[in-house]
Amino acid sequence: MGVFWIANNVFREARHNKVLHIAGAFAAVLILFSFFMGEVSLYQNVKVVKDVGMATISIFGVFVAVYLGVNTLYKELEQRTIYTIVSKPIDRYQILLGKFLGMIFVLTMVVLLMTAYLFAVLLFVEKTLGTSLIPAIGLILAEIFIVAAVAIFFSSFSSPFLSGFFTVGFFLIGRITYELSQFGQRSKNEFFKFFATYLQKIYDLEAFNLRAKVAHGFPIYREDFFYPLAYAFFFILFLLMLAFLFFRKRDLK
Amino acid sequence: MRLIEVFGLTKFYKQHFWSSRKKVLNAVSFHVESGEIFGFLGPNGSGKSTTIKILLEIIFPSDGRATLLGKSLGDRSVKSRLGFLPENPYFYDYLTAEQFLRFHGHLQNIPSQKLSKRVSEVLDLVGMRGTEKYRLRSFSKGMLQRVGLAQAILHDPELVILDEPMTGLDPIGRKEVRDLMIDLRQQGKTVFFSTHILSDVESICDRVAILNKGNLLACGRLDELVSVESQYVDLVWDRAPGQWEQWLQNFHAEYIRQGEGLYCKLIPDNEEGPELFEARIQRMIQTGLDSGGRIHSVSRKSETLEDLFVRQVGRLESRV
Repeated sequence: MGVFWIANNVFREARHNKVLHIAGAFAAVLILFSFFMGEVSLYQNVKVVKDVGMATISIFGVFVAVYLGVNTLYKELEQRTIYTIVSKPIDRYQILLGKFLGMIFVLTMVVLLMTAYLFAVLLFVEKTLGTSLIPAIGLILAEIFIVAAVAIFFSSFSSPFLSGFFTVGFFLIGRITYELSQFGQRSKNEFFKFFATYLQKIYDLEAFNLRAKVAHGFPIYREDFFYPLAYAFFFILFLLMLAFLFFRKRDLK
Repeated sequence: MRLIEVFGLTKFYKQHFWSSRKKVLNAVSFHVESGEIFGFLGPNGSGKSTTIKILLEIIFPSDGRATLLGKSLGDRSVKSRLGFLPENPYFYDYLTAEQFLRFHGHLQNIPSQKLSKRVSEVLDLVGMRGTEKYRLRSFSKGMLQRVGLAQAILHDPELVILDEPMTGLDPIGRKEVRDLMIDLRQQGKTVFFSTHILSDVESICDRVAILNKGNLLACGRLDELVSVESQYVDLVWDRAPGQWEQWLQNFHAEYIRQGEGLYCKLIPDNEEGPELFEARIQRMIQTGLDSGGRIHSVSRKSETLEDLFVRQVGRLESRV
């Protein structure tokens, strides 16, 4: 039960966080702006609204994941609020798990709110609900969960600045591994070819990007959706287990 | 029964991975008996908080071991039987006092129906009734300290560990916290608290430990540690004995003449034992009275905890 109450507290804290309020307002303005961008593009207004809207959800979601992920644990340590929690009958892994689940809850609420907002804009533009976007938004959410797990992993042993830096770097690498493998296949350097190909096989966030497909109305197959989802589940599990190992014997000075 | 046992606790800190290790605790050993108020005394930076953090597994020892309530550190069942207030507590300022206590009550697995009643009780105990609905961000430092204390006793623990509980409190607040500790002892609880305020320790502690620069300097009952022998004796004469200057030369006393009166201070010599010192006092009084003096008061000054503290800390300083 301790995990639930810690998660609940993360949600409470996020609800009072001004940075997240401002970023949310900015994202809302950006989605609305996509409507005007669509107006000036020739016969592509719906596609532009969908594409920019989903990109905004993705970027804002990643920002919230990094911001919360590197701060939620650090603030507890910095302000020493964690001392009273550690003195309770609760294991350290439960503290981390509670933090992560709280973030998951916040991120889900954030994505749901922005999706509802995007649907409202699409209803106005297209006169239909954008339900075809749901698989793409589902994978955006899964990708954001991975970023949150990466942030928690790094913050289990390093400072918020380094955690933020590493997490953003990790996210950006994940977004380019597909292009990297394409380069690798054409490369004559055997080591680079091997490295780029296998890096993409074990870590590829581009697999979570169905935005272009759904925006253009291309078919989405089961494996396009469920393979990345299963990958996200096991990858997050792996990262959290590593984070537990680091956090288990860390001096909380 | 020993509720806290500490054996040779040692802790090294490293500021950065390239800097050398600094020893902040040096083989500290002591124990705390059930039902007592134990004062953990030492100047700032002496290692008090480090010891407490090790006991609660906030940090881990470099060497040595400890037990809490008869079990080794890390046993989860122990943590539901102890309460803790950290030094300079900072709590989630977006929560109200009630939400904060309910959060900690839930972490202690207190059933919801019991929790509401208990929250009101402890807020009442720490003199914070009526603040349930106020956010912690609107609280003064002293109020936060009290809410922190309420959090520590919320689940009615057997052992209460308080790190500098008097910090930030006004004299009335300090007295209330002292009274609360005495109440807890009367209920059969054990209180272990760290402080550098000597008067707090002197007035309520059964036993104390003195720590400085990571070294345990003394540990035991106050009356065992503080020397019961007189440090000096004050004699105040309303009327000085006749030929008082000659008379004083026999007793090696410091003095101040005030009108007809005379203030004398008798200090034991280094080679003089307690019995000879007593005899000197008796002789001085008797001969003074015989010479026509009128005595106003005789007062013995024994060693205080402050004297002991300065003596112990000073001894280490000279060794260093």
